[in-house]
Amino acid sequence: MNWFKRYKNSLIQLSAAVVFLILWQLGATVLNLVYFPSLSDTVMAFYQLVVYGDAQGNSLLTHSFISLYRVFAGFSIALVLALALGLLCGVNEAFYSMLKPLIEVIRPIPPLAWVPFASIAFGIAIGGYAFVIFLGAFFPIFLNTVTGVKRTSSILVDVAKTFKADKKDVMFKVIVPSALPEITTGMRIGFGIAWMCIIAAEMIGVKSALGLGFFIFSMANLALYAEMFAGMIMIGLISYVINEGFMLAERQFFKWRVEIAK
Amino acid sequence: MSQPKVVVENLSKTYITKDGTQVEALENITFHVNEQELLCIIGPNGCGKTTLLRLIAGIDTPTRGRILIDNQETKPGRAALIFQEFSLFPWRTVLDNIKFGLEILNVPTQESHKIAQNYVKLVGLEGFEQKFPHELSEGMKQKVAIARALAVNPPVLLLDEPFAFLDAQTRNRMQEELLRIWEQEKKTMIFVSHNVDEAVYLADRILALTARPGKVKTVCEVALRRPRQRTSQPFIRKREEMLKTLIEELDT
Ligand SMILES: Nc1ncnc2c1ncn2[C@@H]1O[C@H](COP(=O)(O)OP(=O)(O)O)[C@@H](O)[C@H]1O
Ligand SMILES: [Mg+2]
Repeated sequence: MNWFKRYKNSLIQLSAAVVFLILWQLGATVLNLVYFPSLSDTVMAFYQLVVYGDAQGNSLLTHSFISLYRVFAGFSIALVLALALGLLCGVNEAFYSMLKPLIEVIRPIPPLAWVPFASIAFGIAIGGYAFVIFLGAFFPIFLNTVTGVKRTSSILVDVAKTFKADKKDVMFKVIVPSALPEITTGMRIGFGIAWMCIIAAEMIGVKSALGLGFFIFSMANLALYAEMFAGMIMIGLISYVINEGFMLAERQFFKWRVEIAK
Repeated sequence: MSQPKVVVENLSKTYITKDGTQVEALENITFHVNEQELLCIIGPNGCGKTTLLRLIAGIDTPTRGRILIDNQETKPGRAALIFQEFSLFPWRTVLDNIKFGLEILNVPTQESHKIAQNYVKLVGLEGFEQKFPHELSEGMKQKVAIARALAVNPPVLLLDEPFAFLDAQTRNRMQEELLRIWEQEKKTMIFVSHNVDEAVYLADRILALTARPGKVKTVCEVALRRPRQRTSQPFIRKREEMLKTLIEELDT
């Protein structure tokens, strides 16, 4: 009984997933549409693609790594710049209000609207992808950093000052640790957006032969629909794992925060 | 007699709020605190007590007048301030909170660890070193704040209604603890309170401020032997006398 209680949540999640998979299998079999492969066909395709790869011999994992690599390139640049600017804007109201109109005009432009520009400017080089990812990841990190900095208790800053803390101490011993939970949330959201952007950028952008987005698009063109679905599932799985990783880190490192919020 | 530890001379502070209005918080305050003396400052809410401590701690600048500690103009690091509100770093453990000031002063890790451990012991928090602030009771939190302040060995300790949020029983116990620490550490302390009972229990002298803008209303000696009995006649008489002073201010 105790055992049941402990795993109750996981059991419910698991049964929901199983029901969904059964419905998928049945639905696809009954409907019998070429463009809607059944679960078993998709799983088979997934396995084949991971182990043997596509017609060019590129494994699904290779496509995934290429996409991830592009995301990390753009994400790292976004992280560094968003942190630096976010901290600055958080502590310096005048500086923030100077940048604000600029930021608020660029922010609503979907990163994908930049794809044509990026592919003209950078070609198929990593720079084009990094640029689009940068635009997708920058704003959530930047805005969360600003919020985190502004939410820093002024009392804690005063405490530091009574101990003779200079500006640098206040920044790195009070403001940054205090804002770290928000910064991490910004990174998690930024990464989610970046991941969606890279897939779309690979589809509509330059014709590189590698990457999950490109892979799905070319499978659709070849009418290999089970393979196409396998690629889509890979996108979901990767995103899920990374999101859970961030959430785990947030729970682990910011226990003090979670408890206070209660 | 040796010269006073803290001298406050003709101190005034006027805040200018965002909409441009001026708030006179303190007006022409002059007093001193002797070496190893425990001075309590009482006054009605909003009369500028917190402002006064912030000025002495050197984290705000006076509009007029000056503050000397050991005959030198005050500046941050010369007087430790214990805040009324929650002031611990929630992401740091008890021990790491106490080490904060030592880190700023670049005290080597090993030495800072030893010092912090000593102060954990002084405030009686052994066994709680690795706890986070949210795991502590209100009284324990203020003990950590006191230990953190003492760890850097400041010439003067300033306490801003540190026990205001505690229940009556805990508050009484903390007052006893504070007296023990004060005697052990031989510190000069300025203790702000709006609780007359607390002031009469703790103080060598009590300074009463008027309602805003705060001016010095009276300074009086509390010549009662320690440990003081709250139920003794002299204690009650002193408390009544101080209470009357305070009530006059609340009425005006
Ligand atoms: N930063 C500030 N800006 C403007 N007014 C302030 C500021 N800090 C305090 N005051 C005002 O100064 C007066 C004294 O405040 P304070 O020193 O906190 O009083 P107390 O601690 O005795 O309750 C109050 O009227 C308060 O509103
Ligand atoms: Mg106050």
